Amino acid sequence: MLLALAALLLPRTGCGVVEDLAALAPAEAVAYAELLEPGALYTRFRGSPLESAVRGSPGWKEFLASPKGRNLEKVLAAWKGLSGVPLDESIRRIVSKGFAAALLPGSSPEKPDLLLLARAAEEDAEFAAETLQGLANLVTLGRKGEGIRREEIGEGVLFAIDEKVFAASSGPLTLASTSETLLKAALSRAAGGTSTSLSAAPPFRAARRSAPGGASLFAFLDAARIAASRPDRKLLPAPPDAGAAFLFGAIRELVNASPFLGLAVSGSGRSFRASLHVPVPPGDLPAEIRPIFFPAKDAPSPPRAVPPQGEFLALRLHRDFEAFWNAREALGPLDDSGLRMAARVLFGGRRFEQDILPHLGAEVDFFLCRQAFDSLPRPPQVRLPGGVLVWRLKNPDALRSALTMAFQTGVGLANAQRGQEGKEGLLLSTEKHGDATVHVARYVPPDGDGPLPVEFNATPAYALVGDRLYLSSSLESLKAAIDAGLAPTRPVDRLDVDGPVLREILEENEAPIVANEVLKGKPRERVLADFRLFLDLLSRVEGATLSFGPDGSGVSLEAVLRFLY
Amino acid sequence: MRPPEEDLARFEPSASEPWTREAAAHLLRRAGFGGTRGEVETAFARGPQGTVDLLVRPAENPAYREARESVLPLLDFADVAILQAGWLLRMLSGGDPLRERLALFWHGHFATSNRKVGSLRLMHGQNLLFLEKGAGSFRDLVLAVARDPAMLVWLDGNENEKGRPNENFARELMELFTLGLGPYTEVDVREAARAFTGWHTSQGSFSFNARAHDGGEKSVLGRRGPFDGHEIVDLCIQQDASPRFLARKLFACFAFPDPSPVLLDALAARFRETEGNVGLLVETILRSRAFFSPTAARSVVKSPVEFAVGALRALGLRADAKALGAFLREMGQSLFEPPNVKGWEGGRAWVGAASVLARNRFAAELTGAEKGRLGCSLDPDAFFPSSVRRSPEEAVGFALDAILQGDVPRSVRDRLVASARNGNADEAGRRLVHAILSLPEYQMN
Repeated sequence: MLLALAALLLPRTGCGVVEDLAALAPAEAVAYAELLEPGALYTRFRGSPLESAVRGSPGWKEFLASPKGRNLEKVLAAWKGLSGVPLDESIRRIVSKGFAAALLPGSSPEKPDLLLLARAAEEDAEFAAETLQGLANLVTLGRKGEGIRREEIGEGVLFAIDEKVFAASSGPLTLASTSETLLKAALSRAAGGTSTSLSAAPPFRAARRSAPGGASLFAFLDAARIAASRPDRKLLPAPPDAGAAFLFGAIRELVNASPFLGLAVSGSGRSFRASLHVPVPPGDLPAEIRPIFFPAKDAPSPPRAVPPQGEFLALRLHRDFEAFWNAREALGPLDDSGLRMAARVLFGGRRFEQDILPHLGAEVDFFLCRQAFDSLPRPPQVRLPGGVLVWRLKNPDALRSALTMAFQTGVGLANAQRGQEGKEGLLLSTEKHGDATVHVARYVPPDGDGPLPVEFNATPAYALVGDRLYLSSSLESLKAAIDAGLAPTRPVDRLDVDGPVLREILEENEAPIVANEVLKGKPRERVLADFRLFLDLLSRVEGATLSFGPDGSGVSLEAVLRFLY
Repeated sequence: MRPPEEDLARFEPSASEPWTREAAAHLLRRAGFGGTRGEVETAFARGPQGTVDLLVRPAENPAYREARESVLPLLDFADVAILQAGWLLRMLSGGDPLRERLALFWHGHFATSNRKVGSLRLMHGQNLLFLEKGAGSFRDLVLAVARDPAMLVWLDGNENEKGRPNENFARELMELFTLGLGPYTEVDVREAARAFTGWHTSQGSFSFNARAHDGGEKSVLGRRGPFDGHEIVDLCIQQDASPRFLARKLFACFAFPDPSPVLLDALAARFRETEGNVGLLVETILRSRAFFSPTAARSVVKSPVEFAVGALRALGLRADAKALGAFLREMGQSLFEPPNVKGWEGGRAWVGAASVLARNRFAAELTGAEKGRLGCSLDPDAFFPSSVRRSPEEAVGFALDAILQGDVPRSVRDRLVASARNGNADEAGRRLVHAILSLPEYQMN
């Protein structure tokens, strides 16, 4: 009734059609994100297996039973009572043609301003205005009319709540902001005003140009402006340790050198892709850092290890360890005293910098593989994957005896520790696998029929095959990696995850995973239900890939999720 | 003063010694880890002897069974938090509280730390031993502990060999486990150590190493013979001091500390009459007039376990048991990691400055508006019935009954009511419960 009355009283609005919501945001926006056709996305979600999974999940049912969930149901019921349309349907229609959010510097860095923009279909322009009026009425009812101000602005209507939150509608556009000035400026642009908009700003236009076509979501970050407000004037902080610097150092350096960042997300029925573009080519990195992460343009590209059978995670990196060591001060904290000592102890007195480092190549592959435990009389109760590291060596012969020394010293140290604890140690042996000599250490299985303890997941092993060092926690995985061989590949950093194999591993380890969650206080039934729901969702995933490398005008960090249908 | 036989006589409610909800809650606190409101009401309805019957022969409890099984797939890992969480889940489930309470007693009595043992499997085995044998024959329990692999590692049993006896276990057997300080000599300890030579472990189990065993004549506690470990245990528990030693500790745990010598003699005599059956002695204590006397009520400081588990049960909250273990460490009681062979000192030692602060942080965590490390927080709407929410006096009365069984002076009650008048109902409810959990009265068992 109230909405119908409001519809009669409100002047009909009309404005020039604004297709690009970015044209309403000011050029000073430091961050901007836009969903294209969210209405269509939501329609696809409704009735999909994903929606069924969410609604059927114990977590959702628990939320609905909680005080917040009960309050939400009251709000939804009140909305439907007032408007006659469910709230989610109302929102879908208001944002059906686009939704965007812009973040702007506010009165202080801790208090940025937010501007929300939504565009309905032309035929829903009146509905959008009525919905905003209805929402204002709902708030008014709750506050007995206090703190609400209504103002007509040109062809639109503005509502202010406690002079802190402002909302307006104008034709098919619905806007909200924490700043009245921002809101009015956006309305002015919608009416044809001439103030500079974000869509005209050169960094934004460049970010948009570099985004792959067909994106459902696009986001922009004015990296330079945000970094300027930080004490160290960097967007990303220094990595916490050497490991983080080794893995993510290039990303950090490039992002910190970049004036802006662009993110595009797109999805089809069979895959989902997110791509972050950094418009700084590897050549712009400092000379001492670039070769760590990127091969020289004309450098030969050695073949890489092929993922072995049973692999569910494959990581491929280009890391020039010698260059990393020489530039370590520039990249982040690295306490090298431990590494030097470890090298002396493991490698029989050899010096890390002089005797080991110069022989390490830059091609590093790492795999996690499901183990079948066929060589054991019975499998362990907890089944862990085997890890295999494949590292190209510049001069394998120079390291041959050092590697043997390191392996037997490592096993010896482990055995000494276990002996102190009154436990059996590992036995060393060598065996042939094809032409390769494999050095392996094994635990001796105890008598009896019970499942083997967790340490039986480990059969540490290594082999030198050609110019590759194969080092593994599992002999089974090592042999599989040697059998898989090498193949040419593009020199980009890449991480691949195999959905079905990962699912098998999780299923095998259901008992300890569930037990661990029960110990955290969750009811067993709930844990089992959540675990099986996760496995069910995972069963629809073929795999995922995360890759990082040059993309023409800079570098891209891309994530792809592939589905099984 | 009553004669000891009257102190140990069964408590039969009367006008002068009525059966009250406070008494029912006292029984559930001492014989377990505290009761929920429903459990207190049930105990009150059943009466004291009926409630003890149920404690001695508890009903099936599926949550307890689930808690016992929860830790089994994880025993190969090295994180003691797993074991702590598993045991805490058992306590929180409310299943077999008396046996669990006894297991906690024995864990402090036969104190063994995973910091040295380094095996969850062995420590879990010891914990199950306390659960399964802790309410039976004391002799059988001590023998089982002497052969327990965790104990053997803890007290260097594997180093105890013929010609080079290690005295650790023999000393603690006499001083800490069976006799207390005094009724033995250093010679007794040395000779007893010879009897346990060859009591070793192999692949995580007890193994008698005959070649390392000293089968020669030993002179222990006034007797002479080619004793082995079994016989040394018998010699120890047959000493007059042993029943008194154990009866004193059990009475202090379940009733009140420092019973009179006369009462202690009566307890020791009862223990001998039951042929050293711990469960029967504890049952005697729980059924006795002494247990329900004013001397026993709120006479001991709650250990961190009793404080925290009791609070969670009283509030009906389900916590992350691993995080709970971490809170208990901060309060000074890390299960499976007693500080030394003597276990935890207990009593006033539980309430130092740091541990009181830790208890307060725990109470704040439980009553905060957002869930914290424990993964749970009080929902005042669910805890306080709607009938009491509008009245601060009624809300305070309800909360005091639920958590403390009303056991506070009038002045404290009045202060709580004054505080409950401030803020909205949600804030006032949380503040009220936090205040009650922080009261000195709540720290007492």
